[in-house]
Amino acid sequence: MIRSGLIWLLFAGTAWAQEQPRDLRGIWQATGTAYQNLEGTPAQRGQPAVKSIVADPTNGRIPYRADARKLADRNSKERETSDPLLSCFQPGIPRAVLLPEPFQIFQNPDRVVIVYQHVHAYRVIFTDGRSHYNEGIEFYMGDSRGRWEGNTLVVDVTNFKPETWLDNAGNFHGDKLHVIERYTRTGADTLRYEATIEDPGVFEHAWTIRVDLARHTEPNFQLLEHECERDAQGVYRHPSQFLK
Amino acid sequence: MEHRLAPASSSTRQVGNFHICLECANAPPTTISIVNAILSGQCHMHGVPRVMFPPFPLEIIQDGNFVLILAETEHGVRIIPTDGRPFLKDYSSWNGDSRGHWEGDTLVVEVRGLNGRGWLDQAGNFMGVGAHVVERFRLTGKDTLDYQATVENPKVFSQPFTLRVPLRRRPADVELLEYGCIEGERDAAHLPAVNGEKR
Repeated sequence: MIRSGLIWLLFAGTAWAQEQPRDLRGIWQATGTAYQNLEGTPAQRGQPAVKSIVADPTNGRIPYRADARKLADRNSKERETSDPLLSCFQPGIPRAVLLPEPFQIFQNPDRVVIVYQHVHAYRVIFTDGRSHYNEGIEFYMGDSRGRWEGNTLVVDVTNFKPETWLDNAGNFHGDKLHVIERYTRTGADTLRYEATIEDPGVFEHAWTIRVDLARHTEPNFQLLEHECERDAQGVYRHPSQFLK
Repeated sequence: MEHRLAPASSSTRQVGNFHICLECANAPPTTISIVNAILSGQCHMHGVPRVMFPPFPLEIIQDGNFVLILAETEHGVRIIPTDGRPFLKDYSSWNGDSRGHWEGDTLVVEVRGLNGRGWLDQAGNFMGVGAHVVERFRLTGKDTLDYQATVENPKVFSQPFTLRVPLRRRPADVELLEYGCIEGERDAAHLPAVNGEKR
């Protein structure tokens, strides 16, 4: 009885992969707390440890150039006032994927659309081979172009504005950021997310983060509106203190 | 039966960009007043129905039980389930909570949970708290979409009224561009106060 149940589970687990391997649709959210710091942090008073999601290099550290590491350290010290998310900036990539808020993926044959709950940022990712915008046209969320490699959606993201950060800790990039994202279904309710990040002005070499995304399976789960706005005193306000 | 906001015969491409037909004779006259455009000047999403007739393109994506509307303006988003699920309880937001269903070829969308802060236009026409909106989307041709919204709020209007806007499909190679407004915003502080609201 138990054995037949396990065999059924095994079968059910592979059935989706055979039938819908390229179906990324659903509402997803990153597991873990790497949005706080991609490199991880030891446990601190009142705050559990954060595990690094830097998979390459294997030491879990971002390969900053020496001068850039100093700037990251300064950002970290000033993060409670300097984080662009606090003043309602769109989060950029990959930060949008890692935030502790859900996002929803829609698919049509020629495009994948991702809507993030966080400040209702969205991306329309064409998968029909059309090319990037010319150099010099910049976006907070970058310019995304997708293609399928087997059952993995590969998204090439360029044309970034340099103002966005990579996490709450002040890890950052410059104006030559290039991100290659890979989305692979690993189960009925799991997605593997990898992003290779390069920016020769800031990093010694390309590096890769890896994190699992989990599907929201609660009945009738939906994205809610997260509008960031300025109050009557001109102070930027998010609807919740998500950064805490 | 699957409904699409495109005639079945139109093309293999059944998703496209729509935008307001500014030159249409029956488009509502607009009094443009930069000073009075308080809310759009503050980078908010416009709210339903104003989000449906901005001067920048919209994109409508249909996928299974969802109709997704992306506005270039303020990167506004509406996710409209058409699976009959109940409305959220005690919800309040700029674009509200939408539920859609099909009546023949018409997509009918009921919107609740609007926070009432959104205006209807740049002139300052408004809906107030408790407004309720029912929208009707219907293709009238391969590249034309008829949009109607019936707005009611007994506290503000003596009777429900309906606005109607023709939308026209943009060429297939048109892409929405990113709309940045609040990022690094430094203008609002220099604009005059209106209705006691500091800018």
